[in-house]
Amino acid sequence: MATLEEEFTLSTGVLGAGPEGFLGVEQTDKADQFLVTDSGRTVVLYKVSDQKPLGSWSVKQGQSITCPAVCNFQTGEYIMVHDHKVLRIWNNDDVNVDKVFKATLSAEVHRIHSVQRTEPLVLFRGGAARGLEALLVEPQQNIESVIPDEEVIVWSEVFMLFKQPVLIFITENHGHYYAYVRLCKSHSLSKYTLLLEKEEKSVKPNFTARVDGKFISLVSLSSDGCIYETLIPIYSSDTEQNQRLVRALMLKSVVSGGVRNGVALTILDQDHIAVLGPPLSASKECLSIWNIKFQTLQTSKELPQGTSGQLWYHGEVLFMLHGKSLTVIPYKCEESSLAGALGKLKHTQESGTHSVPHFVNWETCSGYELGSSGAEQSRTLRRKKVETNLQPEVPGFKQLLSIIKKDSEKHIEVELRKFLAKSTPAFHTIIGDLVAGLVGRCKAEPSFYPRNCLTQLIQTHVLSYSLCPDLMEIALEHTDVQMLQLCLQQFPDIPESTTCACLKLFLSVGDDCLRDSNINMESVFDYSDSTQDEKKEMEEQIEIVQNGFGPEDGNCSEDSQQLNDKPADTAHEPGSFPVTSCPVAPKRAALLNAVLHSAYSEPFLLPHLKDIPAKHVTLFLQYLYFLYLKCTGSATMTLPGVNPPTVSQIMDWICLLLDANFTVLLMIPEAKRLLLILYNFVKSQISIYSELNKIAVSFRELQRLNREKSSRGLYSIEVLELF
Amino acid sequence: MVEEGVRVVRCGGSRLNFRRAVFSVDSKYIFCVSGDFVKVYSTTTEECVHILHGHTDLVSGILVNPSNHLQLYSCSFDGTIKLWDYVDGILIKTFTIGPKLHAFFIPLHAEDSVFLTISKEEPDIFQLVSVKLPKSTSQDVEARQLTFVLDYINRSPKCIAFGNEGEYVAAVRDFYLSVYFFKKKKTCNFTLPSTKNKKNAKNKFTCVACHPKEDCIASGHMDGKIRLWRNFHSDQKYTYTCLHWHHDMVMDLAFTVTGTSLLSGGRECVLVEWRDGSEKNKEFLPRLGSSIEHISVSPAGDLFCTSHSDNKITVIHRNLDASAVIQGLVKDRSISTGLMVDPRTKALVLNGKPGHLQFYSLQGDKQLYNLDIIQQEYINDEGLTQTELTKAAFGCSGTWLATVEQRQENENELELQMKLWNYSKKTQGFVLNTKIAMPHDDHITALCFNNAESYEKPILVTASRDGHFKVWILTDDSDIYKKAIAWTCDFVGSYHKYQATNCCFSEDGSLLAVSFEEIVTIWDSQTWELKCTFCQRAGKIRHLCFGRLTCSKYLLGTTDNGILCCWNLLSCSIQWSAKLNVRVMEPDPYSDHVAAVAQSSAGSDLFVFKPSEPRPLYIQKNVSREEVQWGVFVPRDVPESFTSETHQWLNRSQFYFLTKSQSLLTFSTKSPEEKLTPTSKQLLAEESLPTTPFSFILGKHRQQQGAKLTETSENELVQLPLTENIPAITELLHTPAHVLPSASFLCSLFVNSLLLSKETKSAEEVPDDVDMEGNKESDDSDEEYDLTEKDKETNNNTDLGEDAIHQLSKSEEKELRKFRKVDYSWLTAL
Repeated sequence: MATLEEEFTLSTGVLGAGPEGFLGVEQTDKADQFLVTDSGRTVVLYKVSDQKPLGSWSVKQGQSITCPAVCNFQTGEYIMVHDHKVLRIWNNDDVNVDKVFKATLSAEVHRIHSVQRTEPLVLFRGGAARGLEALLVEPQQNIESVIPDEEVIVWSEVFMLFKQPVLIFITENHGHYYAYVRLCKSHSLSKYTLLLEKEEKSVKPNFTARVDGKFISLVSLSSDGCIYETLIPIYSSDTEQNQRLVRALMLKSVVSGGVRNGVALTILDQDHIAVLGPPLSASKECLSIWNIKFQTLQTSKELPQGTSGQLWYHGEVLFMLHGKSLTVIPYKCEESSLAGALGKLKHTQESGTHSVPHFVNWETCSGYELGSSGAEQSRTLRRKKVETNLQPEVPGFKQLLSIIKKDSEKHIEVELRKFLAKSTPAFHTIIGDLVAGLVGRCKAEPSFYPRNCLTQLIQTHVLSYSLCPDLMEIALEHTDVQMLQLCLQQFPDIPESTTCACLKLFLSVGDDCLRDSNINMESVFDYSDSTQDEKKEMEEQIEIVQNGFGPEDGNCSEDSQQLNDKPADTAHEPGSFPVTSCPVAPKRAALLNAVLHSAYSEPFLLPHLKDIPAKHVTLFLQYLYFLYLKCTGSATMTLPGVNPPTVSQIMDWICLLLDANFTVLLMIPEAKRLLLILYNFVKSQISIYSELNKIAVSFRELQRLNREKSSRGLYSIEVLELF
Repeated sequence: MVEEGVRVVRCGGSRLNFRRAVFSVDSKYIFCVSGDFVKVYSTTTEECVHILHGHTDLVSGILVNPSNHLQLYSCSFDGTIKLWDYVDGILIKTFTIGPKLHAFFIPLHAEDSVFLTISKEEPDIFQLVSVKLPKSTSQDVEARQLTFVLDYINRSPKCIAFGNEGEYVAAVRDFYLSVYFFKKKKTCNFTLPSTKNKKNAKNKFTCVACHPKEDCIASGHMDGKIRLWRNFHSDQKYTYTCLHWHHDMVMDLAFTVTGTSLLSGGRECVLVEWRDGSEKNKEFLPRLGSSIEHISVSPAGDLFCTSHSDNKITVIHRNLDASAVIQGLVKDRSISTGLMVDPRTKALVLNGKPGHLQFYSLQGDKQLYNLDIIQQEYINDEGLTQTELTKAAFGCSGTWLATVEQRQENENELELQMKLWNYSKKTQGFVLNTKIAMPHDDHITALCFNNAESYEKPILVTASRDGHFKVWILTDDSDIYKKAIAWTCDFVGSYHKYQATNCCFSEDGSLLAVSFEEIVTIWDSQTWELKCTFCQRAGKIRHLCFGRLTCSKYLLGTTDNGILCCWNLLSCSIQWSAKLNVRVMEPDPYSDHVAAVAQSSAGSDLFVFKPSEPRPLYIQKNVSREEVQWGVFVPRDVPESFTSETHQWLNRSQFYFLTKSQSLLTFSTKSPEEKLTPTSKQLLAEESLPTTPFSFILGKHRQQQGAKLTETSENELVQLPLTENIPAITELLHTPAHVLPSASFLCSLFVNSLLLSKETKSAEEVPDDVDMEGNKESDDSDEEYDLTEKDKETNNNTDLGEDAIHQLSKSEEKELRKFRKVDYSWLTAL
């Protein structure tokens, strides 16, 4: 993020800053030292870190500096022009400007541009440009006029591009603006007409530029307060003169429109731009840093004493005139990335006015059939048509939102039911907003909890966790297990942390709370079968588990034998293992089933599972094991009932729980038996599968033989010997 | 600036093998249909010399004008026949017929009548009609007097042939051969005797050809047999002999000019020459690459050419040596890679030949090269499960190319392979760097590179139906033998066990979006941490892309239920959504515009919008009646400067799209007239030379010579009236022979300069030779022309001996003026 550091002022005792401000602030060959030229007669060299002047030079009374002093980076000398035509060159040791080198030129100078790695470039009012050395050889040389007489240079800049200085300047003529690009080495000059909106011709726009690949990106701040970008090709391929350039909107409403003075802008880096001027809300002037890419205001600083509308950026320092003094603001910026900006505006938008997301039906939009006659008129008509399409199509929606903000639960419910009765194409976006509205009010007023409304909305099947992340949080706060169950069933994108929080709640919630709640029991079959049945089932089930591995099969046998014996004994002791009756109440089972059904990613879930208390983990494991036994009890490996948990879901959760809490479980005496059973069970499974694999191979071979035979189209008698 | 409406235009890549190619009489050019255009190629250099623009629908037939070998007829589905001067690329005349024209024939000695295949009111019933092309001076002529010839014919022009100097026409359909004799006005019908026999059920007719000299018809059949019919003047006494070599259907037949040999071709990719119509005497040209669809023979008899199913034309010498290959955009198979742009060459990249990736230049409208990805021999047979190239992506400004190939014999056996190719500057091509077998357990649904400039290390992400997305990075793979870099898997991500369907990186590369069915997940590309999810419950995500430039904070997604969503990543909420059944969504990499092609009942509609605003900037309804399958923005070399909001999206890039029937279309604001001018401006510049580097050298010389000629002619015009002193001739004689252009060229130039009448016409675009007298244009040069005509007449009448010199000088003056004109045109053109 970009930051503006503490500002400080440079003493302006020697400087006479007029109302227009300074002529310029320029870099020197030494870092931290800057040449400040005031609009009168003085040039001061400042060392910024010390905040003090190192030297100052003035021209004689009657003379006036017309062009800001610059530093020749190749020689370290300072150059300035006074009285339009008189060039002065001096260095640090010189005291009196009158005694230094003087050259009178034949034409009026507009500016001297000096950049690193090249000689200074003198730009004349007529648009011609000369290198300083060439000019000094023959100061009185004839300077041609490049631009028409009526055009006046309003802004100019020099860039180094592939070791070649590129000069760009903008001229104005009765509200028309033209850009010229001069390649100094190849002496080519291209002229472009800048196309501005009509109403802007009266006000002078502000310009700044940077090089962007093969283009110069000319950024201008217009009187409507918006920043526009114009791309000017550096190497013009078209020989045609006077090409027109279109500008594109870059930033909207940066400063309030209609402000004529005190507005300036400068590009800081690839993504950031500094703007000086009053922002929309405040009338006070402000220095603000905007991120172009994300169109966001990064930081801003109020300047209560007003500015001159001049802004310079050198190195990492911003210069401006604040009140009567030259203010320096160091600026720092990290490289911005979308990842860094992600979600940064989340809370500001929620707290502010809740904007309605647009829903548009583009399929009804009419095409642009551009005809030649009356194109303009019809185009505006068509735009109107499109605009009308943009309006949210539900008239009652806004009313409903305001009702949600104020009215009683009852009233909201009635209105909501009315609203849901008529479905519209914009349904899904609107539902999201309604829930956001309700949840927002819930957060603000702890007593407000419109469960019926929320349930109704969830049941429209268009909500997801991402759309209303706070909904489940509130339900968790209210320990509304019914709502949570519904959410778990409906939302495909619940984060694992929330799933886990639900699980914790379901395991810990009191029985009395469960009794009152109206829980969907679809996924739970009738667990309250007579114990007799259970036992019978249990016995059958054991046989099935046995199937596939012989009792005489190695070391497994003892354990399994144990297993076979134990249930009969322990079945009579409630609360011990293995489980023959459901370890949890049916309502709780229904809730846990909802958790089992919900989607999750293992790596995200594991860390959260560790937080579940050991007591609850064992309970949940018991329940899962019970479900598993029920599953294997049926031939189809499914549980009875509507939409029950599947075997793989049960197995996955057993594995996850064990993975997450294995060390803890090892320590708990109650869990020991369960672990042992599971261990044996896994062992037996492995042997079953290995046997099955063997059979599968031989069956495949048989199948292959069969296929070969049948493909011949002949009859045959075959004897298949399996063993 | 006046801005014209945006139109959908075909932009090349059309089928060259739609109809038989046609040779010019001197075998220097070969003409072939190409969408709405006719293309003129040089047979020696394979370069496209001219493109004849003018038809507004598919061109369905081309033929050289039998009465003027420098003119070409073409007919089209737009119901017109056009006459072209193919040397200059000028449209001479348009005959409006009316109905959709499917095929077009001009038999010898037909006296201005041409034969056309049109469909009757009922669909799929076609009839052959003849029409007399009226002689008229005007450019547009109506000819709607159709004379019925044959009914119930096949629509393909291969099923109709005119024989023995136009005495009869033979047409085949299903199991019938009908021969109509023009003089007797009688039709003979022959049915294959064994149609009811089960064994011969496959012997349907596929094509027919007639012997140029004798009464002999050759017909090709589905079962690979060729029958030579003779004595077919009566229904009873006909005979036929059988030639059998092809194992699959005979796709086309052609007799050589003299009729001594018969050429046949089919799916075997082998051209068979049957000498003297006997089975024993045959020659083969094998390994032609893909099925032969058409065969044609040059009138001079020195060249053959075959059109292949992969949009290729092969020019073959008489001695069965392939001499030139003209390759168009390969459209043999389904495009599964989609359209891509090679950042290096700006060429369009898509599936090409089986197992290949083709690089196609849109500017030049020709294939640049094929990259063999699968690197296996392709066996051309039905019912084989082939390894298919399914996905490809370019990364890091063209230095890396990732490809995915798969082969699925049955549901459980999937073979997947991902290959990464590095661009080698030395060889100027892609070199295989890493081969990854089974990168995923199921189909790869998407792959993308992180193309942000700020990341030095390239990153590739693949998403698969197995529920994972994998991140691949470039690592050091050096050992003691070599220094190398290779790609390895860096991270595997999944979300709630859903299938991963799409993936894309944000513009600055800091975020990765992966869609899992109806949920979009956002991951940090530095830490591979899940940052947030979006789920709009509007169906599974079909496309996913980030906005660019000023809109880079937006994420766009389209769903199966026809909703287009735009999420704001800064606020992590939905910004707007629109109801639109999007088939193709493509962001422009150079601007913040996004193009979406939606499918509606009427056809496909284009919407261009900026993610920042919930309104389309530009809508074009019904860009194509078919479903649009793929689209891509191709950057322009020179940006346009449209100012209006609706046209700004055309400034930096051009949107190309591919429909289901694989026609490549684009949007353009240029009117067809504007597009036409450059070709007609070329005028006589190239004369009869194809544009080769050599011709450019020659052309330069010619230009200088021409300039000299004009100079001298101006100076010495009056003083030297003698024939020997014509400056052109002296110049010619004084120039050393080795710097002169070829004699044949100079000769034609010289003759051209003498043939004033002809020159005038082609320069002024006077429509037709025959209609000269009727031409009432009061043009300067025309008057001149009349004068010379009179002069010539007087010349002929009076004795040659007396006034010859004087008369000659006068006509010579005209000649030289003409000469100047010709030279001038060179100067402008070169």
